[in-house]
Amino acid sequence: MKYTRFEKARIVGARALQIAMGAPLLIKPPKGVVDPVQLAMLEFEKGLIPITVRRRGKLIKGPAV
Amino acid sequence: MKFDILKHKLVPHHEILSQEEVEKLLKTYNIKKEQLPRMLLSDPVAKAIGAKEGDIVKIIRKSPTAGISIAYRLVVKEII
Amino acid sequence: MASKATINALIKKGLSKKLAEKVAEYYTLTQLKKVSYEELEEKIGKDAKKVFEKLGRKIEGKEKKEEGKKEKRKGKRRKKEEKEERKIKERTVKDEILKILKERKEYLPPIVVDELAEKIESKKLHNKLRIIVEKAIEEYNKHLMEPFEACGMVAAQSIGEPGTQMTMRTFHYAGVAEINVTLGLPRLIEIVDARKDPSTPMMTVYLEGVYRVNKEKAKEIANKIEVTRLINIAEIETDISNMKVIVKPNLKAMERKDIDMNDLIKAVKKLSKVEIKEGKEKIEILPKDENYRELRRVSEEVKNLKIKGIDGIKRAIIRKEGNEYVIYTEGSNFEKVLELEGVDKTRTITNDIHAIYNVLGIEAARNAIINEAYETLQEQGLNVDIRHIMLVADLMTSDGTIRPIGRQGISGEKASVIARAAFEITVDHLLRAARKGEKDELKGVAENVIVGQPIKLGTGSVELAIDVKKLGKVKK
Repeated sequence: MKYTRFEKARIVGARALQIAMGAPLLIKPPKGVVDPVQLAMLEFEKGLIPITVRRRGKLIKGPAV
Repeated sequence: MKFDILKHKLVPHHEILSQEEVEKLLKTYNIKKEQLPRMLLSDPVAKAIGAKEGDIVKIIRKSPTAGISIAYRLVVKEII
Repeated sequence: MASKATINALIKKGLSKKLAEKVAEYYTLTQLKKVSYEELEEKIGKDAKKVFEKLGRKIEGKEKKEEGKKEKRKGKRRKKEEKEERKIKERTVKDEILKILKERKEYLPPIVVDELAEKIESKKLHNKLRIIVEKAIEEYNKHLMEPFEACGMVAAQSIGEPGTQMTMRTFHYAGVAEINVTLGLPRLIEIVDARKDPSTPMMTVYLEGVYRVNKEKAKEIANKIEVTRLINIAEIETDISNMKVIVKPNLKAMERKDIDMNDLIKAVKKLSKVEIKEGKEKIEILPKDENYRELRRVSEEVKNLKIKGIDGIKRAIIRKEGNEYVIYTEGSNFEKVLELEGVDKTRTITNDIHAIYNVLGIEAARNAIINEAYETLQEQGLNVDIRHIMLVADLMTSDGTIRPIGRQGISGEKASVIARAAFEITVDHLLRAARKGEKDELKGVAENVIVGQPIKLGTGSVELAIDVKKLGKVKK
């Protein structure tokens, strides 16, 4: 699913908080990367984070009538 | 009416929606009539096209950003 | 009148017998030496060319021009046909594009579809049509604004920041000729505050028909709308010893303004409580009550008596733009001016937005707000994207009337008590709300910031949830 930048920010932020509090990582961390936010971003790019967004309403393209 | 205001270059195209078009509109956006932008019953264009209170008018504007842009207005008697 | 001699002479010159007979029907040889090409062409048609050739006569400049014009017309017609063909081809391409959009359930704005169709047709890229459309869809979606974007805030900043660079000074002779128009920040404030009377109302009157191209006719209309008072076209004397006001018309001034004695007398007769004596070159006005106060009153009324013109139009100036005459007026009376014959009722505008609202409706008023605001910024050299101004105009006209942005309008109609209190007149709002026992649902931006909670826009709009499928993969 294509996330808006707000959704991406929230997801990465929430995951970064988890990592900072000691949660196990879902990727193998590359050498020297310790920052939780960077790690969370790497997980996000691989599509591994099990957090998603609940969207209310649908996106309407073009005129309705 | 001395002249047709609908022909003035500042006035876009207005048309009244049919009952089923109104239903489709409200359903698509999942809204109630009252949540739409409004137009007064005494508006010169509302008078020119013969709109009644409760009608929904479809307005086809020439937009500098999109070429054509569609807007809807609910015709109301007055603003409380 | 076909004379045998003429026929033979023409045959000798090289014309065919039939043609010679035809020509001789109308002209003798001497006449043929003098007749104009057009006349001859009228009588005998295309063969006139041959006749002229054989007679050794040149087709004069005028005729050549006709030929030239014919060629031009043919060229124009060909161009028109080509344009028609191109339009038809573009339409088929456009239909194909719309078909693809429909099946992919995607949307592209009409202006983009038109441009794609035009480019694909002109560069002959029909075989790549599908790929082009798909790429266009991708790019368009990338550029769309995301839901819960704080567009109002962005618009406010985008207009406000250049606003700090605008001049506060109004005494600029902008616009046309000698008409003074409010510019810059004060004008922008007028627009956004939805002022009912702009400080410098102005109309741009376009003309139609003969009035458009004929200077005299344009002057006629200018005289019809510019207000002329008696004092502009006559000498007014107050004769105290005889208790009367003497009006001596200045015929030259009257002629310039297209006014005759009848108009004058008709206007003078409208005065109240007076007796009018028409003299040879003057009009005497005597007040019915013979006292100085009445005399003074009559004298003032006479001086300001409107003879011709539409109320409110102080001055009308004619200018030539391109190949038409346009009238710019200082002062505005939108409704009355539009009623005049000769005025183009589809293009004439005013800068008084409420006038446009009253005559042309809310959508026209919205467009007027956008145009006025945009031009005010452009004139100052500031480039603000028009969509920010469109947002403000949409908000101001959303309820069917023109609402100012300030305390009397949109900001004062907010549902939240705290937001209104934070905007203006703090204590009043809080006291009144407390007395009524009002409830603030904390739905908006200002109140949430004050209370310390995240706002409902941007990241505050996101509801996180567990993605069960991905979680399953993790457990492994």
